[in-house]
Amino acid sequence: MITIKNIKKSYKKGNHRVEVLDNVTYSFKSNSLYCIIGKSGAGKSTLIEILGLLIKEECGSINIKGREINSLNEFEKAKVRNKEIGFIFQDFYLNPLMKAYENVMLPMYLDKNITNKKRKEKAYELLKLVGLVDRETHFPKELSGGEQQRVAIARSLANNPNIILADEPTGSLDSESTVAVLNILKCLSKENKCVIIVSHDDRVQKYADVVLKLEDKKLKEKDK
Amino acid sequence: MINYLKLTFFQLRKKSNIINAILVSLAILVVIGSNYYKKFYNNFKLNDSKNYLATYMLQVDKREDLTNEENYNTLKNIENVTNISYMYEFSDVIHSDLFKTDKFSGDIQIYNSSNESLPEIVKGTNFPDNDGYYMVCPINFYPESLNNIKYYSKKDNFNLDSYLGKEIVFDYNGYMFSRNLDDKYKFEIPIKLVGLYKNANNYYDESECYVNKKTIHDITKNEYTDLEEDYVYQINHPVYALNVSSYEEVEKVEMSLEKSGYNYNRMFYFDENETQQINNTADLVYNIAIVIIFIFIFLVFQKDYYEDKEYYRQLNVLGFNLKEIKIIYFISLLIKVFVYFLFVLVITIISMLVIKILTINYPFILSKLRVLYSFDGIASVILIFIFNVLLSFMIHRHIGKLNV
Repeated sequence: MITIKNIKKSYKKGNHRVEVLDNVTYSFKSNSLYCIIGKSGAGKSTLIEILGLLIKEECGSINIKGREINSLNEFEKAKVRNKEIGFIFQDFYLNPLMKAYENVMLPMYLDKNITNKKRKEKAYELLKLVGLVDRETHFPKELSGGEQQRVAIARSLANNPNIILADEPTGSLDSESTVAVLNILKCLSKENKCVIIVSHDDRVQKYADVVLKLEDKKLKEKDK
Repeated sequence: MINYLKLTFFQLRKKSNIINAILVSLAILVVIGSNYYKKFYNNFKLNDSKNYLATYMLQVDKREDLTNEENYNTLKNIENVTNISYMYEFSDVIHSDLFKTDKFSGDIQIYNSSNESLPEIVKGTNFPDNDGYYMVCPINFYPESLNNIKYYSKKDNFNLDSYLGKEIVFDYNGYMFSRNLDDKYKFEIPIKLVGLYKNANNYYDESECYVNKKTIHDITKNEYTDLEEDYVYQINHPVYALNVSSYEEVEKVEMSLEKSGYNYNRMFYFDENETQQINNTADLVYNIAIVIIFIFIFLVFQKDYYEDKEYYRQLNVLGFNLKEIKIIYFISLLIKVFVYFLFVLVITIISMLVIKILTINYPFILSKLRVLYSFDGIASVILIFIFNVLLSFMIHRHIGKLNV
């Protein structure tokens, strides 16, 4: 589904250059849930941002469904993000001025073939899918952490992407909400999607099909 | 096509937008207000003043080496002199019971005039050519002494329309009446109201009427009843009142008078330098206001941007490209400007209504305030907004950009 080859990334810190990823190569498949673990500062968030085309790698290649992404310009990458990738963040990243269903509808605005009525219907369906009923017209501040994260999951599914990237999706949640969210992500991974989660949380590893460890700037599969 | 408007309107739900709108509207009003203040002084003091007849009238002493007739003819031949009268029969106060009400005393000021020196007639005619008693009065008319007229308001106006073309009987007393309360010193004169003139807006001319020479001559003559010696003295030692064609020609006439060896002074000295200084101050205030308001609106726009910055980044994460995000940002700027203008319009209309009510119902001093619709001020505000929108758009041209 998504293949990275020889990915390198470093950051400038003061007068020094700190390398975070060094020749990272891996192939992520559909119908799988991946969990990327590693020490704080190992480069997990950097890796997921590269996978999500949110930051640029220094060298290496990214291939999504057989398509070379590196050569694409900013406009084309934005399109890929919209169609192929769904994002879930630790702090939910919802728009506080939009109701739950409006947040879910947001990625759909780029599809000019769909009417607003259909967008709204789809948003309601997705919210139902993640277990949010009668909360569609609530603003994020009126929802609990778990509910907000479920809205974020529903939004990530707006355009039926093949890849879901989640950066510490349970970081701000209580145990009950964590289990609920992980269950949803697990179900999604079984629907021909590739779900990649970055997390410190040991509970996430239990749900993963494959656990990867980012250590010494490299990515290795870890025995479960 | 993407529903850009819908995507813009979400951010307009921010509560701070209302506060920003109020602050920016007030800032705009400062610009429009200071422009009004500037225009007010330009029009009111500088231009309107020149419409008041007294500002282009001169009082001239007789040259003792010439006879009365020679003096009169010399002065008459000076270019731009439209009327000559004698100070002893130049102005007076007369009374009519027709104008006397519980509000008004019925007294009016009259001035010697000719057709060449009358103010602009807006209803009726100027003086007919034949011998008779004629007058023109102001369209805003208060038959009351000068000291009191400032306490009236517009709604108190004594409407002269029904008296136009009719004779009004006035009464007046001879100078001897105060010493000797004899009815023989009480006089009446029927004067025909032939026209109404446009008031000068910045002076209290609401009780000032202009009469033809014969009228004031006959009134004055009667006033000197049993004071013939005094009357003859006045005739033999005249001081002249000259009407000049316009304010702009006064200096030329003064030069001619000087050349001809006459002493003179202006009946109403209008200090142009002082007014110009005030006008310059008003200009300075206005220019400073423009700069400050420009900076203020710029800062409001930047504050707004930084509050919405995350939204634009979020759109990019979700797949909107930079061009689409810029369009959304640009539309949001335009909508905000439109809303600010709407606020200003509402506040301006309310203010105008308040001023209108004040000027109709409250003292006269306020009623001289004219509501000037100044397009300069509005044009300045529009320009400030255009520059700020373009500047913000340029500064934030990488809006929402990710490092890809």
